[in-house]
Order: sequence, then C-alpha cells, then structure tokens
Amino acid sequence: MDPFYMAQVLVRLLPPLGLTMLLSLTALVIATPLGLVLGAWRAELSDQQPAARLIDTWVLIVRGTPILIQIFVFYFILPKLGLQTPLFVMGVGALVLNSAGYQIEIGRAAVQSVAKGQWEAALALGFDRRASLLQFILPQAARRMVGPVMNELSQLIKASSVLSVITLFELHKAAEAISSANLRFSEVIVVEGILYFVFIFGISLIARVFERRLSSAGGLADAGSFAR
Amino acid sequence: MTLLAANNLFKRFGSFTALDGVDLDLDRGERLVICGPSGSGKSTLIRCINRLEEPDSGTITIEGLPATDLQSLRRRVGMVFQQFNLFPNLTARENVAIGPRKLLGLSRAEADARAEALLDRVQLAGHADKLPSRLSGGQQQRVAIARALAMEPVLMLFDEPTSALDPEMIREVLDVMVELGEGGMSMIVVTHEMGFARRAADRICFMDQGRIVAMAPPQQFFEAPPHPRLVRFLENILGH
Repeated sequence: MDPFYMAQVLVRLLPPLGLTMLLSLTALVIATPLGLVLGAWRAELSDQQPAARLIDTWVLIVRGTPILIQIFVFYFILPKLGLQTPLFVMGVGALVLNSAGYQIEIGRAAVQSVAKGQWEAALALGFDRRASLLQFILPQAARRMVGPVMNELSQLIKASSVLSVITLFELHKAAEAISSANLRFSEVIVVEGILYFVFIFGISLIARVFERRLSSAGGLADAGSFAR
Repeated sequence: MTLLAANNLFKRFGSFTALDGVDLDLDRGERLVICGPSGSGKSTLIRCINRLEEPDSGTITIEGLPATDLQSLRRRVGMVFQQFNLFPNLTARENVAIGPRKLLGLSRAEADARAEALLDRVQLAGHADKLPSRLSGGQQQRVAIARALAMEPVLMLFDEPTSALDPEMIREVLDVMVELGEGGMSMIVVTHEMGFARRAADRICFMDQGRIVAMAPPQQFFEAPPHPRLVRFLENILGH
C-alpha cells in the first residue's frame, strides 16, 4: 500500500464521487416520496383493485430480479422500444424503479402496523378515511419508516455502483478504470470503499437528526394506547 | 321522545351471526346498559349505530333521520372504546381539541378552551399537557370520554369502557359516566359492571346469540329476571 499513490487516487476519484452522489441523491429524492406514498396508498387498497395489482407486480418484479438485469432493461430494451434518454436519466430511472419498489413495502407495512383502534378513533370522531390517514395514521407510521428507509437508502447508494455497467463514469466505473490502467488494485479498492463509507455515513447522520425530530414531535408513545 | 330507532338489524361475519334481528329504541336522555356473554353481539350492535360496522340489513335512524352522510352521523355520536385508542403522539389537550378544531371549525384557542373545560369536568385539570403514555389507564379513558364529548354529541356509546382497566381505576371512570348520565346525556353502555347498571341505567338489556333476550328497568332486571338465560348469566357474574 502506497499512501502517496492512494492520495493521488483519492483526488482523481472525487469528480466521479460527485456523479455517484448526484445519481443516488436524485434517485433518492424521487424514489423515497414515490415509494412511501404509493405504499401508504397500497395499504388502503383492497388486493383486487387494479392499482393494487399494478403496485404488487412492480414490487414482485423488483424483488425478484437482480438490479443488474433491471439496469440492462433500461439500457438495452427501452431504447429498442423507442425510449431514447440520456445515460444519466436511464441510470436514475433504474435506481428509482428499484428503490421505490422496496420503499413501497416499507410504506405499506408502516401504515398497516398502526393499530386498528387508531383508525376507529379517528373515524368515530367524524374524520373521513383520507383525513384519518393524513392526520393520525401517517404521523405514527412515519416514525416507523425511518429505520427501514435508511437501510434502503444505503442499499440505493451502493446499488448505484452497478450503473458502471452502462458506462456511467461514476465512482466504481472510475475506480475500475484507474486500477486496470495502472494494474494496482488494492489501493484503489480501499480508497473507493472509504469514499462510499463516508458518503453513506454522512447520509445516516442526517437521517438520525431527522428521526430524532420525528420522535420528539410525537409518535414516541405508542405503548400508551395499550397500557392497562 | 325517540332519539334512536334501530329496526331488524342483521350482521354476519362469515358463518357467525353477530346480530340476528335486533330492534332497539332509545329516548332522548335515556341511559341504556347492554350486557350479555361474549360473542352475544353487544359490541357489534353499538358499532353498527355509528357505522364502524355496516349492518347487512335493517335500518337505523337518529333524531328521525337515516344516516346518509357517515361523517356527520359520527360527529353526532360519541364513542368510547375498551382500549381507549387515544392518539399517542398528541397530548391530552390535543386529543380532545383536534376534533372540534378540524371538524367543527373552531379556532385553536376556542378548541383548546373547550378541551380544558372538558378535561376539568373529567377530573383531569393539570394533565392537559401530558402524552397518553404518561397517564394511567383510568386517566386515559377519561381523556377519551372528554374527546368524544368535545364533538357535542347527541348520543354517547361506550364499548366495555372499563374492561381493560385495573380494578382501582374502574371507579373513577364509572363516576364520570354516572355524572354524564345525570347531566342528561343519552348513553348506551356495553358493560359487565352490574353495580353501574343498577346505579345509573334507566333500562338494562340482555343479549344472547345476536338477539335481545330481555330488557327491563334495573330493579326488575335484577330482582325478577325476565328470562331463564338471564337468570343463569346473573348467577355467573354476580356469584363470584
């Protein structure tokens, strides 16, 4: 391991790290609200409704296939169907499709985990279902989403490395290029790993602040409604 | 004067018949206690009245009008649950104030003032800023009663309000309910608290297998039970 070489690699990996951050943060900003809202909505639908079937199929496909295949679908198949988009859009699209698929399940499970009595209390006061969901159920569900969503975000960031296969010059692609040009792998791999770690760690710090704010704003005390 | 009229209610859950042709009338200001073994349809009956359950057939009118609009029906009918079901992320005051504020158009100050007055009435002045998790079961249930009263209902439904409480907390909840009834509130109370029934009910109704089997004022209900099934039920619950 040559620290001097590692420093050089680090400098050269910063611009591609920027692309990785741009790709994954763009995907995150789209996929998280999309997935969670669809998931909360799905919790309200019966299994037979067409929208429910569509959402379930989406989740099934995303969960059942490797992200590599999903990315190749965007790269090879969609253009053949006449959908020409820039590489960046393609990459973000694949990440969003994948991550939102998982976050649908997070949103659905969180909404369904709120006790049935909370619904009944809201309905009995005279709130309609929509208002009950927005006013009472979602705030309680939101707190339960933070942990799983954070997991999913770290998955999303790491999944962005697979976008190297469609020639997006993001962090992993750049690291590959550098190491195969110089035939020195160890230093590059270590630096690349550190960069991913720091990025994800930073995101998780932000998430923790967010989580603390959510729980101090309430929702902490679910146990109270079951206390005897 | 008739406040509530339910006619020929039927409700099935799968193969289980919860309500098997129930007729029920309630006068304004009347306090009715419903008792009966578990599975007899008592909870289903009062949950049908505010349409948390939809009866399969039959009619329900409140103040002479059938319920066309679910939300306005429920605003006029307060409900108190066995498990309290307070909103855990809201303080006692917010639990009580949120209905009037969001549904009746009161300002925050007006709704808070109404909430404080009601919390005072259920002996919880000074607890307004606490989250439900900081309150005992009996206190939570009294907040739940205040929350229902905040909508100024014409009828209050109680679904086993003391069944989830420790014995020493039952009294404080029942006292609030007795006082509410004495104040003229129309009430239907599903409960096994026969002391409360004797003390506060105008009529007591006994249900078994989805039907109203007996209905009588307290004195007759306990001293000359009008049905053999009721005699056995009373022996079981009063005998221990």
